[in-house]
Amino acid sequence: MNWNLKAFDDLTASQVYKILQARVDVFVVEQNCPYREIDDVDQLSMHLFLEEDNEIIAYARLIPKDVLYPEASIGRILVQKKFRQDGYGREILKQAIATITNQWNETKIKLHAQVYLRDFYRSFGFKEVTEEYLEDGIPHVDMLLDKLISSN
Amino acid sequence: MEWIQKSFKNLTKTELYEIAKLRNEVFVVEQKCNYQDLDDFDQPSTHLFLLNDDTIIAYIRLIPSGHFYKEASLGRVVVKKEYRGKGYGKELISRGMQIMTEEMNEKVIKIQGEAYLKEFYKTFGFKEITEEYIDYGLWHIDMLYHSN
Repeated sequence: MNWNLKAFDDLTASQVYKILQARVDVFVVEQNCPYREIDDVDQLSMHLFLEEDNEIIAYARLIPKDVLYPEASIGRILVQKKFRQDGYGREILKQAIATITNQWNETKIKLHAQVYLRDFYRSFGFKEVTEEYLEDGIPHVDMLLDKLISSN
Repeated sequence: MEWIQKSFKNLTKTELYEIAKLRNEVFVVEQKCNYQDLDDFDQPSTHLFLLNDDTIIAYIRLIPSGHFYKEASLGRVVVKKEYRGKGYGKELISRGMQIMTEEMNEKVIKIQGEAYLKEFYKTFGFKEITEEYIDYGLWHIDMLYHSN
């Protein structure tokens, strides 16, 4: 297994296809949500993924500040169905946070979180900053990690 | 505007992204259909599209025989919303069929058409070979074309 962290420009066409395919599998098909998955934010993002035998096991998109939010953001976090319950979700989120805080020197990270994962994100220090709201039919809540506060 | 015809491996990353984006926009969002558009039939296919500046405004996928069906097939026929009603759909199909019969040497083309486009496909010589049926929540019909 190997971890990749790549700008859009450094991805191969085949990696782009596999990444989009994995995201559609989870966020369109599995979550029954016919939304705009391919949204032109990818060109500005870093793509973090765990790959084995040319298959994407886990993926997250790291978005610089001032693209979606004034803060940096992590999104499209997924673990492919057959690889769940093995801790890859925690692992990828940990790596994503470390990259944004250590390499990008950001102190704040905002998430557009699905509500059912709120406790998972809380365990990393994220706190709710909005009420719950519906987007594309799925309950969401915005959450913020502020390293200046959470690392005491 | 420029027509471009490419195999999967000759597509640039940007072309691939733009194709996937347009198909997502139309077949998933506009048709409210939560299906896997990126179905791994893209790799053996020929991709034909019309480029206006950097935007793909019309697209069709040409699948050689022995992949989706034992016959050759064409599909994912799409014209970007703002460019509809100008005849690009007709041009896509006729250019696509010409490439399939003349360059890919396919004699028979089978399609899984959306039922509301049945009459449109008939004008190109396609004939119905099934009743209408529902697939992914949308009415479809299989149609067949024989060249000569």
